[in-house]
Amino acid sequence: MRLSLGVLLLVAISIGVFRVPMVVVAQQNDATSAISAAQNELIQCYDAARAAEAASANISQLTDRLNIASLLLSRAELAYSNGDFGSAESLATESQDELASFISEANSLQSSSEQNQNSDFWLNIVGSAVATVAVLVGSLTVWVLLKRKYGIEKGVQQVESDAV
Amino acid sequence: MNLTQYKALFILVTTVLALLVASPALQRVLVTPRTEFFTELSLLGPQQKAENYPYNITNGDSFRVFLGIANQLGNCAYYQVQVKFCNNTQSKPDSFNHTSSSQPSLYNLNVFLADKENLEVPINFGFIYHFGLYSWAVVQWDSGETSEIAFSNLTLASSKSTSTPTPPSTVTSLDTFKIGDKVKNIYDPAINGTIISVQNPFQVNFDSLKFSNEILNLKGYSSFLDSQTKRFYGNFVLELWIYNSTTGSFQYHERFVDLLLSMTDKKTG
Repeated sequence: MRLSLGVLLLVAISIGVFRVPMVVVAQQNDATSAISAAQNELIQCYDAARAAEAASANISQLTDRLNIASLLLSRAELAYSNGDFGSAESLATESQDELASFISEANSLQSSSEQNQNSDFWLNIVGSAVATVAVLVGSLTVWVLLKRKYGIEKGVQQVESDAV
Repeated sequence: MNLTQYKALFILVTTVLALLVASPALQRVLVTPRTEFFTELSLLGPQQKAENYPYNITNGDSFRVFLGIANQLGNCAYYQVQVKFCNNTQSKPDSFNHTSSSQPSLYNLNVFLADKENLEVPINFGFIYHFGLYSWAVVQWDSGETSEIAFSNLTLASSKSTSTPTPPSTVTSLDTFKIGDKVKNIYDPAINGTIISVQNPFQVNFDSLKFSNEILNLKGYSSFLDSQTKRFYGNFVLELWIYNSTTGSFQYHERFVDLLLSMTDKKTG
């Protein structure tokens, strides 16, 4: 009986001693994966923002959100390097939360900008080119008509004066 | 009516009208392409001007500067400002060789900027440090042996006082032991010797750097007394790195700003 109590006590102490480092290691692993996930999320969102910018979208609101998320991530990395794994994980998760629905917003911004660019192309480039050609052709036509009209009148006047 | 009199006027009116109508298209076609792509990095003093930069640093006090970054790269950029600290003997970034400091980054400030966008970041910083208690001398003993020994274990042979010389709180009176001083080992006063060289004369040991709202660990960082100016220098360096999408990593963007700081005792200012 006494022996089994001793064994139980030993087991309990062993669990107590080994549990603390195990909890710390688990927290560290969680923090590592949270930071890694936040970094990946940030890179994906950055790529989406770049694509939107390439389509001439105004991405200042997107960069504001990226800056908030990256600040949280920097703080998470600092907390991690200081051994504060709990804070590191929570800050990394906050960073990811900040970027929720970011990619879909960037994509919609990109597609609306592409549409605007498309209509801008038809209105400003094609429309303007067609209108310019129309002005030139119209002017030429008016000139030819005026020339014909006044040229004929001049010819009639010439014939009349010759007859007189 | 003679039409040829109005020919020039007609051509002029037509040309002006055509240019007016063509202007939206011309606006897009006749644009000078950008040929220079770069990033601007600047550091301004507390009044957001290029003056009154912090120089004399007092322990625990906070100082303010403004870091400016402007993106002229033609696309959105992902920058990383690496905060580094080095003393007068450690490697600093090099403008000529385009190399970064080999010191580890204490903190990474990540910044995203769209093309032609700029950002001005206020930075409050301050140092917690203390003056080192120990310095070392190489002593040649009367027996002919030489050894390195801490100042704290020495006393002047001619001095009647048996107290251990301790570094004073002011920078100006740090020359307690000089080369040529006759000294004794406080643990064995019978042995006399002469100081033949002084090593690591008093130093500043750093504890932490307050960077905006973060406390950065500076344990292990120290700065030695500059023999010429009798000052303790430190370089507060902000290096600019940029994310390379191809390699998936940050690379040094060959830009940095730094502040040469003199660590002073609060009493001497």
